[in-house]
Amino acid sequence: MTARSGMCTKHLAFVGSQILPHEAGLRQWLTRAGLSASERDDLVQEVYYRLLRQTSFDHIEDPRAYMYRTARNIMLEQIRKNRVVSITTVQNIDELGSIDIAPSPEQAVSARRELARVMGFIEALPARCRAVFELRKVHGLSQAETARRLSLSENIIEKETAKGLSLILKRVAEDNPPPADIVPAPTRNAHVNY
Amino acid sequence: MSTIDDIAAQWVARQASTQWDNEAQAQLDDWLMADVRHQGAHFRAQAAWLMLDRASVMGAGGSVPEVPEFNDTPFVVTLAPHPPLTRRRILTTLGGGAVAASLTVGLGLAYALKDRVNLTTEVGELRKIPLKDRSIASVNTDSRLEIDLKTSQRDIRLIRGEAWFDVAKDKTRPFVVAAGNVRVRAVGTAFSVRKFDHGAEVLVTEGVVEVWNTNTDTAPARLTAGTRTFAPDAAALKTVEFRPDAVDRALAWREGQIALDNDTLQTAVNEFNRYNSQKIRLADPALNDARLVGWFRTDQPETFARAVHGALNVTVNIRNDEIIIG
Repeated sequence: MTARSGMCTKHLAFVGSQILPHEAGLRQWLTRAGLSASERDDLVQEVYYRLLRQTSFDHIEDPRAYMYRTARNIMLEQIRKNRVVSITTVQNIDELGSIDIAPSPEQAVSARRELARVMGFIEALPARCRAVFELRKVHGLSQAETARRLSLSENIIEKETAKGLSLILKRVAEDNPPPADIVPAPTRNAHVNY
Repeated sequence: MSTIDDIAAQWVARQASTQWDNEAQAQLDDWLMADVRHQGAHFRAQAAWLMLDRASVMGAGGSVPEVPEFNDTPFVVTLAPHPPLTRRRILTTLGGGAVAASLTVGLGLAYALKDRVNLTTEVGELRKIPLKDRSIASVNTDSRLEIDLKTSQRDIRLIRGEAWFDVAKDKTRPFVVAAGNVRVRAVGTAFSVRKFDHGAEVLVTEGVVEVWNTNTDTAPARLTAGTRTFAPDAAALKTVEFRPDAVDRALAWREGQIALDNDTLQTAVNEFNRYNSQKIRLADPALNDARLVGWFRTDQPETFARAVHGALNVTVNIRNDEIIIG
């Protein structure tokens, strides 16, 4: 088993700030493409798995386009594996591909905007959950300190943390980003560009 | 949002607790190893957890820093063994073409024992042949190969068509494919060569190959896995592209498939016509540039024509000898 920890924090920071903000838009598109809820979950998890497998993110110029392309490639592979060629899927995938060239409205996620987003996630949590997240994330307290401050057991704090993170992940999945620009298929060079 | 995502959140919360030990790590590893989706969900939850550290600037009361300062958290990401898809595909090759499968068994074994082999495939035929040196040659439709495994060098002449080679490692015997004036040399690697009248296309799926032209003095170009190039017959090689996805797609024929990724209808039709005597003809030139995505069987031009009919809303006339679109 291989463990990679060196690059990891940097990678997680990249995914947190550059990929997560676009997840909801991707899920919306997948809904329109006719994928069921469980198919969307599987696909999104597979997308993050592919990101996890990357040794470097340096080559990713447009994270949103990269995320969409990855999803598209996974869909193509699945179509191929299942030998199902439904032309609806085929056309929709084509639209997904063409998103690549549309400039991303959120391409530069500013630090200020990201902060507002994160604070919005925390403020929307139920009261006790919110208190835990404010102490841990805003004031940087450890789990033990948070437990002392709130007069709760560490076990409860861990449960509230898991619950809060689950709720925030749901918000990440459902967040309303600006509508994705779906444009007609690009006139791209066909096969081999000699 | 699935239960997998909730479980991933529980793991991240547990990792951020004070009770994290080797036993917990082992349990997490087991869960991660069970499914790549678990790994993806866990990675996503970790990223979200770390993203929330942004909020710390509110607590500090300072201004918003341009670059977030993240703690060196002891998150460890476990990687499950997950062989690249291409490898699996190679192992299951031939699942696609019934013709191919039936031919491989008989011919493959017969050829495996000989040093000199001439191979010809008919239109629509696909063969996968193990060679005596334990290399494997997958030979595409309408192709001809002359194989001569000498003690100093393994010589392959591609007279016409296309073939993909999974080359057995043997440093003392270079594996050289000749297509016209173009030469492609490998030691232990996998690549394909397709011969055209004016040169040869080379796709590398594994390792490194060298490509040169006997007509020029230019030094051989080194191509790595995921690259493709077109080597002209008359001049030296000019450009090499790194396109792993495109390379993978272009080799779908090894499974009896045609992979279209935003290719024009004209390109798709040309591809199908390589494999079938029942040719497809585009009657309306306006359709040439319509673009399609999808995976199809090489031996089912009718299925393709029906899909085009549905996708582009055009008339399709299927006869015994040809299929007319438009």
